[in-house]
Amino acid sequence: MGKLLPILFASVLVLSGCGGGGSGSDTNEHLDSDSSETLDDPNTPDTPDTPDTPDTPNIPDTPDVSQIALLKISQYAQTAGASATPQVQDYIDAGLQGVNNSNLAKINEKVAELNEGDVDSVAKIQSLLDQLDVTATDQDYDQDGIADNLDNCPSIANPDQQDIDNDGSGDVCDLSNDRDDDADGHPNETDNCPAKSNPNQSDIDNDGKGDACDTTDNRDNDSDGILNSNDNCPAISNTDQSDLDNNGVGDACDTTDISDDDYDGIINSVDNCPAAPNKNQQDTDNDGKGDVCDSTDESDSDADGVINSKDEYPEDSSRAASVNSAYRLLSQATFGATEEDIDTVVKIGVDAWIENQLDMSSAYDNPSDSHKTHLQRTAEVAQLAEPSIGWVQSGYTFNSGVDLPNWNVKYYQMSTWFENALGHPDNVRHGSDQLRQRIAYALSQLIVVSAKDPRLDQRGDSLAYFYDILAKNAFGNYRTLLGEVSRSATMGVYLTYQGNQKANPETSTRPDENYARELIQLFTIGLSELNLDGSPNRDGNVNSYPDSGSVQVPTYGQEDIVELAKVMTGWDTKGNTYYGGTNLGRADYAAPMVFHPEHHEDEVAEGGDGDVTVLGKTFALNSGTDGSGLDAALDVIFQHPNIAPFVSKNLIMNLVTSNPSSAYVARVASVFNDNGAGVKGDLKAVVNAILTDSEARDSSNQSAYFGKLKEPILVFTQLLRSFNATPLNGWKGRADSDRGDGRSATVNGVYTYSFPSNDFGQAPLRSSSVFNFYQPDYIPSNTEFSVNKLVSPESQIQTDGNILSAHNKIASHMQRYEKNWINNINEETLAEFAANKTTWSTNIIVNYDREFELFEQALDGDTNGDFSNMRNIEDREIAVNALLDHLDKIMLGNTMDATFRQALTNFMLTSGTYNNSNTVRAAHYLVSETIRYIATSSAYMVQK
Amino acid sequence: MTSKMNRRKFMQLLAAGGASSTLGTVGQLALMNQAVAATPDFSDYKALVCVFMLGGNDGFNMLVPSDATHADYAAIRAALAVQKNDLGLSSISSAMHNGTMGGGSSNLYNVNLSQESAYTKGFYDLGAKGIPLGVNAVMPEFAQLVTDDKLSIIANSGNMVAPVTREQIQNKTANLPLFLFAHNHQQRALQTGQADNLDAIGWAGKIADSWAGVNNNSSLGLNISYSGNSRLLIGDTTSPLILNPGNPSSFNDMKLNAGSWSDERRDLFRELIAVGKNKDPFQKLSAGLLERSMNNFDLLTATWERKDITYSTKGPYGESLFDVPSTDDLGFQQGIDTGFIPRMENVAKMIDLGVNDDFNTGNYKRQIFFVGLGGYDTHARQADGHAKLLRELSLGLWKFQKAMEELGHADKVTTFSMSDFGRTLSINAGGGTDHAWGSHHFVMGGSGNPASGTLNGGTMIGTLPDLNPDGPDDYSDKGRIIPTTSQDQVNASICQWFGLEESLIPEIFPNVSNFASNPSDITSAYLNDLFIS
Repeated sequence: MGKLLPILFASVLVLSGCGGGGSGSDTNEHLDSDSSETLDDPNTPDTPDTPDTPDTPNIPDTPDVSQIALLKISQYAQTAGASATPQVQDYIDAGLQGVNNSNLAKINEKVAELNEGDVDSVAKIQSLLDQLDVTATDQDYDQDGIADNLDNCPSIANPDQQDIDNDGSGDVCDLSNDRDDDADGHPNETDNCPAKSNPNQSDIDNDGKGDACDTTDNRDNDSDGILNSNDNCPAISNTDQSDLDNNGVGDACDTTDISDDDYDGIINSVDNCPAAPNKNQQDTDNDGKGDVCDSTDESDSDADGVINSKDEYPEDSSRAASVNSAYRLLSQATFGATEEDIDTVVKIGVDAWIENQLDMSSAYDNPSDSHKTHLQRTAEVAQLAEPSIGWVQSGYTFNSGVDLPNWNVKYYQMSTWFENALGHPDNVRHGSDQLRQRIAYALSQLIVVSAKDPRLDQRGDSLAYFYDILAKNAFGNYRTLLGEVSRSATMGVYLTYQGNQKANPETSTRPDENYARELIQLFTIGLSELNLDGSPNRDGNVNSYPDSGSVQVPTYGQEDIVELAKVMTGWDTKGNTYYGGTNLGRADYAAPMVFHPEHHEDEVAEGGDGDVTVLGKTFALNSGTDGSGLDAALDVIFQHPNIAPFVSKNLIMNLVTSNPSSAYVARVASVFNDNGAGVKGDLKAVVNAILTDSEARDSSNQSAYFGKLKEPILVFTQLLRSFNATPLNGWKGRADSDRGDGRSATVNGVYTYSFPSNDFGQAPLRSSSVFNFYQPDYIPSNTEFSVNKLVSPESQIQTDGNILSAHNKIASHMQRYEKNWINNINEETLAEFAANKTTWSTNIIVNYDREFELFEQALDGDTNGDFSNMRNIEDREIAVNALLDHLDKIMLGNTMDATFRQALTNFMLTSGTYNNSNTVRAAHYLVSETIRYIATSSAYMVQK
Repeated sequence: MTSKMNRRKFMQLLAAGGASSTLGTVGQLALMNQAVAATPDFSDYKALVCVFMLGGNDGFNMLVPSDATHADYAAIRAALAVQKNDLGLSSISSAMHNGTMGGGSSNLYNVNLSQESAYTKGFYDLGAKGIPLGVNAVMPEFAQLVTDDKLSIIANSGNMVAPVTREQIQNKTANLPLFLFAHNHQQRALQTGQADNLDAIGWAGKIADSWAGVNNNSSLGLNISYSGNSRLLIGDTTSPLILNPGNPSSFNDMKLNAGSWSDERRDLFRELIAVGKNKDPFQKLSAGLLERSMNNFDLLTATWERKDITYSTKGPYGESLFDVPSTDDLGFQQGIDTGFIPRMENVAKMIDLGVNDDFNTGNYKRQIFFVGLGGYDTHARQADGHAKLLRELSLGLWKFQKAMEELGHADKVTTFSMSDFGRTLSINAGGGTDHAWGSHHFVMGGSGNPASGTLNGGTMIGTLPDLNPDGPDDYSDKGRIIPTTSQDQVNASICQWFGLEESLIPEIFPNVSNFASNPSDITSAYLNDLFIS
């Protein structure tokens, strides 16, 4: 690597943040006070105790002050250094003139040279002073106007004579402070806490700062790496610092949870259901767990196979979930609720349906069974649409090299996508794994590739192959997914690292940074540090949130990108004619790329150390079994704490709600971090956590802003699924010999819808850039949303123009591509209708058989197709009501607003269209238009 | 225009107790909304057209040094360097104007009909205009616009919070934009007008909020995008009209004034919308979007169909003005993307409809258009891709300018460029360039006849950087050039021309004052030579 330590802005901020609050500055203070204590200060007066001379025989029984002073001086002369040194006050007490602080040392020195007898009287000492010429009583050495003998600091001018510690030595002379402000017997100077009385001087962390003063306990009693003073539970190791009730006491230490998460007025520690409000604390089975959160009731009162706690109707064996619950689940987890699926969920319950789907067999279990992968089916569709071309050599895989590239293959890939979204009447296993396919689609909006890339545009096989990676890993591990994505030819081409090479000084080139950046920024951890709940992490602790402040801490810096770009070198498409070649016909674009070590960044050859540092972790460029360093890089990124909230929140927003609560994100992110078996990144567990979460399931746990706008393309798939979509058989594929204009092959069993973007402003794997169709933090220009900072990403593509084109597509398709309309109004067979349709048509037929049947049954009491009572307004009203009951269930999950229903009913009863003498025609208009107006309403656009 | 109270002044007044403190919060909000709604009473028409090159345009290959510093440029640009070779614009000037420029191998930039080779063939020297730059060979129209004083160059500008030096970057003391080098965030920051605030609404959206009811309360509002829902145009209380190029459509079976069949369905549709507007927040949002879409397409279809504009001016190859020249005429292996030219045709028509009151809602006063061009993220094979992009850009600008001249609106319209960022001068292994920072930009408008209040065309504003890697203007050592002019300075100057109240400019571009040479005079940060005073 070029620089030893590529410091991120992020790490600088974090490190300095920790350091500033840590022990560094405290230690320095401590050292300073220590060192001043040990200095040998000649000006320091001894403690002004009375001399310790009680037994001296020469002293009268009641000695006066002058005698004591004199004795002290003479004893000092006798045993200089052993007895107490005379002070200025002693000389003054003895009645001598002229001794002051500035000459004291000199006088004492002379006194020490004498014998006791030489200085046993005032006169003898005075003569000594005279010899030393310090007698002048009016001497004022520092010329501050105060005579030296009166001056508390004769050597330095101090006319104010300030002496804050009252030790007789003026402040200007006094270098130390021997006051004892807190009167605990320890002078300030040596007191480890001068501001508070602490006679015992206790200092448990030995940092020099007494406990009484010490707000920082620098010990780490539980050895969990967190200093006691920062540790929300200093006694028990808890590296995660989890504090679920946010009371400042870590969970590990917290025996009493005084918070009230559900705001029911009963604190968590005594609440028999702290997660859900239950003021009455009802606990029918007396197991200590309140009824509202008691999932342990495994009894099954109605013996329908769904235990009571999972059964919305525990006493009704015919159902376990409401239509509305079923509809909501299917809106979140499939490409649209069908009546059959609604009935299934109502019967078996929500959890059982999710379990079934998570365990549903897929195309990836057995490569040769009838459940085909996207790539296999794309090849098969290509063969059906253009049969003269040898697309398929053996099995179901593309015959490599034959007629690829090809502009049409992406349309066949789109056909396959629709087949898996809508289901297929013959290939019944396709689309049976709705949840897997829906998750794959969600992932395709997180890890984006697009046919808008000029090369992928002609390699639809590569798009299908990529989609298989997403679908295969939809219930697998996110780390595995990243590995397969990063090696895929599709991503290599899309983000331009296919053929990426080491730096070349001769051509002044260096590695391409494209994938390095987007991998970090868009597919894994994002731009700024996140807490577990997806909010900005500013305090370095992912488990505490929200964090105050407004800054965002970047996750990476440019240097990380430069380093990671070096890793992303040496990969090329399999079978390419020359390294990095872009010829579309000469390599396998539906396969993992091949690693070429000779093109991989080789720093050692250039005199570097061969290591790169990404996100603060250093590893060898050639690490890993393939020597590419790729897995080491992905491991580093995967270990970043952001990945759990980043991916979890993205999926929640895609599937369930645009503005999930912090707690919801945190719950799912926790599962991402650990699926319960210590595994990080288990998408099956994450998907299960998202869909079974109480916020996704239970209206009472949802805010007013719960839900989202449906993606426009999912509005259409839902509509198609609700009305039994099947492929239009008999459309015309390309001619065997003429790929230009002639059309001859008759194609059966194949959906086509080649340009959904033209109608809906989006289409799978057709995003205009790696940033997907919309930004996750898009706030619409709507006061309620902008004031509350609510996002609605999908509304970003609900432009005036897209709304119009989507409306028109729905209005025309749901009428003109309906089987009964074609048969009875067009008076055509489906084959006749299909005869002029091509790859460019929307070859998807819906049918309203069931709707016509129930409508006519209510209208006429029969189903003979004559709709004879259409012009009888009472009969029509009965029939319209029957129709609306049914459509309310399958299209809106029984949520149709009464006013809405009234408006529709009025129209159906008063419009001249439905009073036409051709009752068959009138009935066809009525049914299709009723469906159309529901499908184009705001009620249908919203998923709640 | 008359000065009206703006939101900030009003808030200050409130804070100072100037407004009645006995009003409740609701009353204050109502007053504030009145203040916000105070829109200047414009007597004339002006339009801004933002041409946003999505992905990060390599401005240093659009305009290359034509003087001695070309050697520095060529050294770092290596295989992607445009050669120091003046192709001589004057030899084709009159043909270009007359639509007889000649196609295929007659193009001055032609090298074996290869766009990749044309890209580095040479340039049109702007030395005669006193600008030491040459325009890439594939952009003869662009060069002609400079020569004709209808386009000026903004040298080395970019998204900035404050002036930055290399030393500050090395010391880690530079005040940098958030997430510098990340596409979406740099696009967004350019659109919020605040390099250090990605959460803000768009600066044109703020103007629309402030000028609520502009254009006589037309439902089309101030801002129109021909390239999706760009944040630039999004306000708190206003949202842009987003259109696709081409004739506006109408809702099936629900066209305005099309008989009772249509009318009764329109009534039903609106009844159902009304229900949605009383439901939950998302239904309200959706119902509002449906209603707005219907209102706008009612207005647009009725107007658009009444007026057909046929231009007598021809394109440089003799094509109808807004036709896209054929691949043969271009002399490339592939044609150019057709996204930009039709969008500019639509902008031209929309301007004409507004100026002439074709909507029958009173003459329009102010409009801001957003046109995005994709594909500029040239990480790989830049010589191929960028050549086509620049060719398209040059033609689209020329055609639009010619249309404005023919319709007589040239002095009313200012077109300006933005782009995520510039690109590294050093090149990558894929024959492309990576994300960098500073880049050359442009401002176009006027009729080429200098007059007060029109663009000072044919000039270069700003300073040219040192292009040496590791040099004084390099962010590090890859040739990521530090901008010397902030996009905010450009935008503030354009908005001043547009008639934005002086007091609002620092509110909308809060960082522009960081560039003031005289700290007490914010206008010293503006590019005061951009328009003729």
